Amino acid sequence: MREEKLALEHVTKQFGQKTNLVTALEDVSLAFKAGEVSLIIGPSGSGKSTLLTILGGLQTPTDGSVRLNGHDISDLSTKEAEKTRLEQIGFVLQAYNLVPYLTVADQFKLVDQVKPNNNLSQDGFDKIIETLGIQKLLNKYPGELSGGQQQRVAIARALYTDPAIILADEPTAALDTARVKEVGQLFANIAHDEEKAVVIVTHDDRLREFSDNVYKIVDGKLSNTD
Amino acid sequence: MFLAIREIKKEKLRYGLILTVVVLISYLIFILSALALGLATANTAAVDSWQSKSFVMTKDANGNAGQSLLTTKQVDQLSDDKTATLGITPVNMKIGGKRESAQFVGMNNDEYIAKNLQLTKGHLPKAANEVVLADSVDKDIYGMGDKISIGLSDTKYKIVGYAKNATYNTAPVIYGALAQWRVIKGVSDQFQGSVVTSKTSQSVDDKALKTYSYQAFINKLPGYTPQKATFGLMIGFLIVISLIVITIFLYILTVQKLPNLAVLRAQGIPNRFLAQNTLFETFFIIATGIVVGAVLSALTEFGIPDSVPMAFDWGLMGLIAAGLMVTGLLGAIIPIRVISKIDPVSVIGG
Repeated sequence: MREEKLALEHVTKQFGQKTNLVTALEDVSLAFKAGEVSLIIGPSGSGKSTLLTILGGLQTPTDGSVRLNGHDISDLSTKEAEKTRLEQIGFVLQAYNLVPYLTVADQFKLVDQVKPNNNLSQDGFDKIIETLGIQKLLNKYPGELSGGQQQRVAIARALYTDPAIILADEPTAALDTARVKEVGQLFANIAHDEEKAVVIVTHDDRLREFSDNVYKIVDGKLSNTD
Repeated sequence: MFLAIREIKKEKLRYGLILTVVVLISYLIFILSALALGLATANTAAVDSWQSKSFVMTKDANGNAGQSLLTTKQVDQLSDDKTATLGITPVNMKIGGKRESAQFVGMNNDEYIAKNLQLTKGHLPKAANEVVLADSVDKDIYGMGDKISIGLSDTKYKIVGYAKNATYNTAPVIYGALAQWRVIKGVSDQFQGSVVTSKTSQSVDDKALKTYSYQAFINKLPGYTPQKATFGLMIGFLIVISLIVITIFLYILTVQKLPNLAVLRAQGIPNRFLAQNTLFETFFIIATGIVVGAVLSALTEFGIPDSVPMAFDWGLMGLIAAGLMVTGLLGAIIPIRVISKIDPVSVIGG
């Protein structure tokens, strides 16, 4: 039985008040386990990004609770949420993942500046950059990399803190089919080999073949498509 | 510091431009301060060298020693072993075809001002037709032993020495015998001098007279106070302008970086870390700007002609540099506030 890493229980998120009240998520419950890639698919405005921000502790739910490694993180202070994201969650976003004025090597050194301990060991780091094929890119700036290379560096950067969970927001939006397959396979390998819970929010159906669970979200309501 | 150093290293042109602006502002402020101080010194150097605490003049002179005429009786009443009587008047000194504005200061050799006069060459005037000139005059024109005409006097005065710190109201001082002041100014024998100075405070009973403290006397020098105020305002405005310029630059830079900063916040990079980097960036730009500005100012001093009074006071420069640093760091408050308000949610898709 795989270990539950992150779970939502009856989570509702509403914005605005009275007549302007918008329900972005309605009574959503689901759990993400170590070693699995979970895909959350939905059209624009369906609430999938809201779901991701709540999973990442960037927003708090209006109702319900979020559990990370068995601990409730629904009501963390900004500082506590920051610490949680830094130590336990790896974010891979659609764009702006990399600091433009830092070389690839410095993107990892930046993490060491704010989190000096419990990051990947040198061996672990070497393995990751080899797996991702970025070992020859360490002295390059993001502007010198292709979109696919940038995304691979972003994934390595997210893995560098050795998080339990990887949250990815539209990670293949700017990539061609070959690159989508490459990135999809990477996420699958990370989940299966590193025992990470990988959650990908996307509307890219091409990632289905690499996922263990696929959830569909429409108008803030979740359904399992498996 | 980590982010700031790397960002400056990578974005050389962008930070070079900001640095250029800060260098130019600090250079301008330093040069203006040096000019203000030089002008102030040219106004007061002689008065400072007299080391006097109080100055008595006629009330009607309104603090302008050149306009004051003290009678023999008044001088006698005021004089004691701690006072010195001076006859001060603006004059033209002439030699050959050259003519230059100066201030004649007549003095008694047995009083403290003459005794304390610091000569760089020569000796005090011993005869009525001998004078000591300010060391700052062009020695090729006013050479030792040369004879000059002064004011209304028909006498040719021989230059017998040069005095250090001898400018008064920006003009070079000619020190001579007090008795010659009357001749040069063209006043009758009933007047003995224009001001009685003292090493101590003086009080006067005569309603026609007025005592001025050192500071009041300096402030009454023609043009001195408006000049000081003008330079002070210019320097103040420049510091405020530097604050605005630095704030605008940092704000624009921060706004351009917002998506990246938002991602960093989403990844859990603490707000404090990002704020410290902005603060260090500001410190680096201003500190470098000040150092380069100071070096340029010092180099400028060598290229400026002697006729332009310029004086550097490292204490004052330090104070101005501290002022620039404080205003610059204040300028970082707005960008730091922008960073603290970044919403990481803004970079998570739609």
